[in-house]
Amino acid sequence: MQVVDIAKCISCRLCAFDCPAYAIEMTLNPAAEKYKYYPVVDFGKCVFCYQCVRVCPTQAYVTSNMYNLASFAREKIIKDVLKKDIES
Amino acid sequence: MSGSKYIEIPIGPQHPALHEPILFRVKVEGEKIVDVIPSTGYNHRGIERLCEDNTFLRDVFLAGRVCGICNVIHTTCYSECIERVGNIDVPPRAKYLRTILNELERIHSHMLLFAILGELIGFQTLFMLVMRDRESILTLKELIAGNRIQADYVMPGGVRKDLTPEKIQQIKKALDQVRARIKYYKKVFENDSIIKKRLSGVGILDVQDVYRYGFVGPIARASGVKSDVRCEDYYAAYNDIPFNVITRNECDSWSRMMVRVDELFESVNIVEYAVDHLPEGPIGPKAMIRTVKAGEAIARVEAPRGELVYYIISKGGDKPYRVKIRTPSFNNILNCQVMFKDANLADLPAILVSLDPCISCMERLVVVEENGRAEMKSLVDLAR
Ligand code: SF4
Ligand code: SF4
Repeated sequence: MQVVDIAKCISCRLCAFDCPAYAIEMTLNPAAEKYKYYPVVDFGKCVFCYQCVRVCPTQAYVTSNMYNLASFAREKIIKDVLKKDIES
Repeated sequence: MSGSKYIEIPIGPQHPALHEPILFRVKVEGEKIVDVIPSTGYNHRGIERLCEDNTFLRDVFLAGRVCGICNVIHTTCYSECIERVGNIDVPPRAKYLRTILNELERIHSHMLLFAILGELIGFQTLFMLVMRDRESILTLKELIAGNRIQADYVMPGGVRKDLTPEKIQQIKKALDQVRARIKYYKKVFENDSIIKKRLSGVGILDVQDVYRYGFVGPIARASGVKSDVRCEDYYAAYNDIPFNVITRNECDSWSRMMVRVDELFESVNIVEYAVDHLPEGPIGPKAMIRTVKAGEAIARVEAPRGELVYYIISKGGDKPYRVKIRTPSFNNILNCQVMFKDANLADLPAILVSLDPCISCMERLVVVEENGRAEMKSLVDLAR
């Protein structure tokens, strides 16, 4: 899966514009000082084409070896990811 | 079929010998097949229409998902077509890299077919062995493109990832092993009595029928028709690379498999030549190609199953006006009834698998209406 480093994002929306699966939504972060929108990837829609990684002008996306999406039930996926994130 | 002396047996749409949804309505008289009516429409996804709603760049990924097995070939054809519409130059290195991936895909597609053949004729060991060797090709694909199957490698104007010298060494090493394995499979196909008995002499397709119904790819080549888009039309780097077009004259299921076996050797040679002669330079344009000027173009490439055609009309802007895709299986499957005439019912899977059917990629232009039979006729007419 790809992970976004929000600190690098400049809210240019290119990733959201080019995503073939319409999986990226630009979300408002009122607390941010300068770049107020950041991308949120819906991994239920993502087809892992890595176009977002390719187009980002600031290399905010990082490809990773995480594969937690492989699960039998949708609820379990989300739980697994959250649990792992909390633990680490 | 009341009042008829034939019995009609439905084969499919779930797993008609292959793992894809298509219905064959087989009319038999005793054990003999009298007619086969292929009936499609179980897997229609409306990709051509979707392409019109999405931008040129998003359509690259849609084109790759027309067919899982030949996704690089679909994206190559789509990109070549866009490049012809927009007069976009591709750097030579990108052309060579496209060729390498295209050929790797041909190798793993043909190997998958050998495995399925083994499974269908009751030769499970062949299935296991071929799948193991196919794995090394998939590893090579992952090494180059970053993904085993769905590579998303080709973009309009170039490719997405470059090759390093270390990777080239790995590719060469793996190809040597694969070549030895293909030699072994060739021996198996030539000498094994099960394969010979099940395949030779069944599903005869003579040259006149190839021309009459427009069969393409290895099926046409196995009937002695020398047709290969790689040398008829220039795309990727095929005009720089020497290779032979394999033809045979037996016209049966066995010769269709043997053409594919011999093509594997050619493909391995092409990849080796391409990595040896890889030109230096960029692999694509600096900026993504998002808009294409108005115009229209046609591009043809040779997919593992035959000639693949894309036709794109652009009216300027960032979305295509029309994307028309014609896949090889469309011709090959809808016209397959000529091969089944007078065959034995038990030979149906053996003939079907020799066509290398790819149902998901032909399921686009389907105008299925309620009274299926009459419509089917016109669909078969369309495929001619
Ligand atoms: S990998 Fe592809 S589908 Fe997934 S979020 Fe990125 S652009 Fe969208
Ligand atoms: S492309 Fe990169 S910089 Fe632009 S919005 Fe997406 S993550 Fe942010």
